Amino acid sequence: MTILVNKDLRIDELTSSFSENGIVRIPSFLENESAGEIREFLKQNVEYKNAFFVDGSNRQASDKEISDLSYDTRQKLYRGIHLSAAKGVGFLYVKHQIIDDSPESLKSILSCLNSKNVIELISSITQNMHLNYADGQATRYRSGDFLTRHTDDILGETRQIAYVLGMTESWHPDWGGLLQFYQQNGTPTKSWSPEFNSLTLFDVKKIHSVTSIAPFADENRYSITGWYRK
Amino acid sequence: MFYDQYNSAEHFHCWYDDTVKDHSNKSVCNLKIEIKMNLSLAENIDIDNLNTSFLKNGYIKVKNALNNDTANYLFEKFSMQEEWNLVFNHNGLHQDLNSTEVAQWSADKKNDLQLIVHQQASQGFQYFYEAIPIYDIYHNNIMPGHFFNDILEFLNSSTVLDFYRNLLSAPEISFADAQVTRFGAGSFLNCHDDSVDNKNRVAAFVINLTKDWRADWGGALHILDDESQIKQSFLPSFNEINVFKIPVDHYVGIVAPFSKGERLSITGWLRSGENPMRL
Repeated sequence: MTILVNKDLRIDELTSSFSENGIVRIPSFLENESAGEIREFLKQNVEYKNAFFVDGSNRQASDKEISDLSYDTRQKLYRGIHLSAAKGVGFLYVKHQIIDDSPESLKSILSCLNSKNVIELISSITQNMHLNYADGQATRYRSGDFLTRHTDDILGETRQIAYVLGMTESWHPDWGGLLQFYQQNGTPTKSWSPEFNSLTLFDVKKIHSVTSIAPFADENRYSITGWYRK
Repeated sequence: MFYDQYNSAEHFHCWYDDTVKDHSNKSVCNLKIEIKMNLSLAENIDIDNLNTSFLKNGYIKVKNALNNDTANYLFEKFSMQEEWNLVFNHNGLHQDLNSTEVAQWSADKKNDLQLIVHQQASQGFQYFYEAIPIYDIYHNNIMPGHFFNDILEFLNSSTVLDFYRNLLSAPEISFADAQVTRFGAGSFLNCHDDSVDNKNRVAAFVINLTKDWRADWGGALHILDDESQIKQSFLPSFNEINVFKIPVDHYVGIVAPFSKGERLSITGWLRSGENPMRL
């Protein structure tokens, strides 16, 4: 799969918007055909694992591992996830970290995001000259999935700029799954509904969340997401 | 878009009659201890600044809008309120059920209701929350002496209407309709623009009466721009009024399944012309 970036981005506009807010959304980031291919691949060909936070720690489990649990154990697991989320710490979604063993198509997306041109482009928009490389994961949020408020600037990590490449088509805002940013006190500053082929960039210090996906959402929310690092 | 939930008496259910009886008994018992609250707005609201902002954006939030005692009184009353209508839409028709009765239903029957509600929600307009139609209760004199009537009178007092007229530069506002709403986990109100023919709605308001809400619990009021992008989000809060000009697309995002709180508010429309309930 050859992934190509849209050549007609309005870089000046994006740069000034990022400089003002520390966040920016770039619409139509990839060329249409590339974006369409990735979308189909994410829907059909990726093995995801559930990622969640329960009893004070991050866990991962395949769908099968979860469906093999007894009904009671599974209910207890979800209650535990919700209990923690209610107090402000939690997440539940499925993901596939892109590594050497990942399918070629996923690796080609990551290669594109790590190409010299794209790193220069992101550096220019964010005015951050320390960007060295990007890691990435494919994520899918289903009905009931969420990620509570947090920042991405973990001590000892090299994360500089977070990115979300939206891969969901025809999403309706009613369905939730907003990428929402907040002030320290919880007041929302910016809310973005999933938008196909948009690349959202933000400073890792920004408080953000992915709001709950409604039980009646007709689609899953797909994206490629990760960090540009030093 | 269709969103018209309390324009006639046909929506009333018998629980109101029961409540009337209950209430008349209670009110006799409570007469001595119940002190009638004098509902009022906060003093020193900077209307001029807020007005400028409203004219620029088409929406505004007024923090600490009510007198503090008033806000706390309303919060306590609604926190203790047991009877609510559970409201949703079915094939274009407003439905309301007695919320406490639904709570007694079997799990299967509750699931069926969720299915019906969600099926429509994924395809278009839908809502699911609890409400008390105080505008109808007042004008149909359904619960005489009840404090719901005081709220409706307060919202239609010249002080409050003048506040909105000045805030919005809308001297044509002549009355307010209102309902009390409660959104728990799983409640939502899908996108709509509030315009209904012949209702003369000038603006919509939400008097937030929710304490200790966490941002992660959802239930925010989102206002959309012409390209369906979210231009403003208001989270549930305490003693804050959100007002926005209509028509404009907006929705209340689903309250997260893990929410421990209830989003309480008084919400309604500021309208012009004759109040049809008075004709």
